[in-house]
Amino acid sequence: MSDLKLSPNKEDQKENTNEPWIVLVADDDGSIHLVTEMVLRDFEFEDKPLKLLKAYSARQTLEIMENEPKVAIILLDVVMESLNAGLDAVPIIRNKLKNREVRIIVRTGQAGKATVSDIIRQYDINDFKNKSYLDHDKLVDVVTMALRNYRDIKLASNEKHT
Amino acid sequence: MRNILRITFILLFSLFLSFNAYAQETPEVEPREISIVFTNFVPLSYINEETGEFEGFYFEIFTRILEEYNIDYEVIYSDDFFELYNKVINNEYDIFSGLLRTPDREDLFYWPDHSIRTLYSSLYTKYELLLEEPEQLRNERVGIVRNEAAGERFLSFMEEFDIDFIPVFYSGFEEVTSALENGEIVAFTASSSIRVDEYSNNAFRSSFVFSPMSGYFTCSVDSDDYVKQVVDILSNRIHELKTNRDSYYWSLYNKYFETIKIEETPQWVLLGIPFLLLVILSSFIIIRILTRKLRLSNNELKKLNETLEKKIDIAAKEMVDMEKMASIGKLTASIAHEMNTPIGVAYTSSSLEQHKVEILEEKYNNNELSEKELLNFFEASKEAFNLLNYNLERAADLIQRLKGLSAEQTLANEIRDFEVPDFFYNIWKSVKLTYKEKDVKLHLDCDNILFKNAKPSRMYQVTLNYLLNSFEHGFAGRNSGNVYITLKVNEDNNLYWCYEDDGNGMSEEVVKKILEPFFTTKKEEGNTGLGMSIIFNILATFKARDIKIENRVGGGFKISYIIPIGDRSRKLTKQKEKYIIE
Repeated sequence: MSDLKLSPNKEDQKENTNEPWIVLVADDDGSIHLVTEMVLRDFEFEDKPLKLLKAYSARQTLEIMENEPKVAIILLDVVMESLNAGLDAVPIIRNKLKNREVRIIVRTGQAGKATVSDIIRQYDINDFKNKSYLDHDKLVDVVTMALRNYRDIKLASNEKHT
Repeated sequence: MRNILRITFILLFSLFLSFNAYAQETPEVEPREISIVFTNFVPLSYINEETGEFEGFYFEIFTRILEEYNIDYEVIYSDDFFELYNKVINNEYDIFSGLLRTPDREDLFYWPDHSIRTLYSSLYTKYELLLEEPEQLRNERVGIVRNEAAGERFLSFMEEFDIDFIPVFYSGFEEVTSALENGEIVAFTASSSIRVDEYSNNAFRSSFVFSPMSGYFTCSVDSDDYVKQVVDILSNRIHELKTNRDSYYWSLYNKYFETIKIEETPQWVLLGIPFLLLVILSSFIIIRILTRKLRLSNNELKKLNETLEKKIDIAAKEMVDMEKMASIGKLTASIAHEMNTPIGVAYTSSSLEQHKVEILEEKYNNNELSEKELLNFFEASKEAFNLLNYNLERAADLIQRLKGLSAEQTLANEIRDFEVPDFFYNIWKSVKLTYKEKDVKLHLDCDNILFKNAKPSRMYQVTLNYLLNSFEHGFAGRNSGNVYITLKVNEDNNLYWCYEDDGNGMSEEVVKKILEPFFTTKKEEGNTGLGMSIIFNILATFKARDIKIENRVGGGFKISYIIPIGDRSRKLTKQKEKYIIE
């Protein structure tokens, strides 16, 4: 260890206690939850950290959405309890729960029968990503951009109300 | 009328070419004009009487492919089969098209796999005569058109079964159909490619079909390399076109073959009072049929059965090959989709690790790295690598299955050792992946059997198609179900194989149809019938017997049979009970 130049341990960084952005990861695959958590662990946007919520099915996703209106982003898988479970949840979130603010990013391994542009046209979603093309940087970028959108939407609706 | 067609088109080239044939002892690969030979065979290749133009299914397919590949060609036409054949064999002409594969011509085929489509011959009768088997024709007058292939085959067929009948020869189909209408003959023979309805509305194709055969093209054994190359191009392109339902192969197929339809409208109105007489006549005939049926000896039945099996086998092969490709393609696509998640997670983990290493390096170079940060990095890296490894393993496992599938496909004739029940589990896993939304359980009741030097692809195809049928049809509209596979070596040293599901079952109509050998030739792709025909085709090669189908509408499907394995099986009692079948 003699050659290794280590600097002294810094004082523990103050944990970011600002109110976090809430991101809901909906996927039936445990690996996806793990890797998303690892990538986004140290993520901050405008000095606010992230809080990740996990759902393993569309049903669970809807339950969380009902109880937690502050979710900023859903990273949504398509194939869960059924072949189209994820996408089926989208109109419920938008129309029944009347949540038009949450940014829905569909992240799937299977394109299924419909083409990507069909899905984008048919469902009120904000982004569509293929699982095999999401590396660390892209995932961070996608989340950053979605949070920026969410922030602007929030600001706009607040201005409207005031 | 057809006689007008019998114009010999052999060009003056023959002299030049026959000289050329001797000069061709050393193979040349230089592209040159190749000669392709067509015989008069409606609708494969023939001269349209109205336009005087040469047309036909083979003719259009071949010339289109040759033009696609910019191959210069010359068309030779004649209705003298043997003359043309001999000239191709002697290399005077290069490629023979429209050659029909029959047992006596077996040695003519240098490129035996280049089949075009399945044809068969059948007997035509008046509407009232229910003709089901050759014995009914004993001592009857049967019309045969001279030089028509079906007639020759019918003569040898009847000879094979020792059934004497009275052949009456005619010069064309006009004559033979009017002879049938006049009652001079009770039936006549025609190949399935002849448009009998053009000649008569009163001749109906009977269900008795003989001599299934395939259309082929070929070149001589000692053709030069260029010709062989062209034959390969033709063959590959045809196979390629056949797998694509939208290709011109199928539009031409429809153009030439869909028109061959026999009108089966019973003309009750015209029959009027003579109808009563006909009823008496037909019941008389049916009584005769029944009494004759009894006279068929066991030996004849057995012989008939064997020959038919052999012939059906050839006929079914072509359609079956196509469906095999389709069912494997279905699975491959779903497994490829399944790869996305593990590969995606692995990719994210490794890019995350890269990102962390870069930050670490930067901090270290700037002397900003603390011990705590280094330890955190180790911790996070371990986590990332665990995830990476786990997901790469998952991907590797999927590839292994994919490899298994493609191996079964490409090495259709591969001979190797394989073991059940493992074998069934592997197929099950790959099928289950496609239908993972359904909760279907597999129940295996299987002896431990090692098949030595066997062809796993056949057993694979049978099992795969059972499972696909169960999932696609049996469990359609259901979320759960059970599949039972039993494979046992019984006391008589035979293999008992049973497949069962508790799904929807099949309608009685479908059950009847799956046993019809030519059922598949008229059905759209994707129909159950094709899957079942693969199964029956392969079971025939296994010489399966005692085939029992139990079908309960709404309550499942079960098929069982016995496959003779004779003395090829050995029982090993060491360790656990195990059989070896060689």
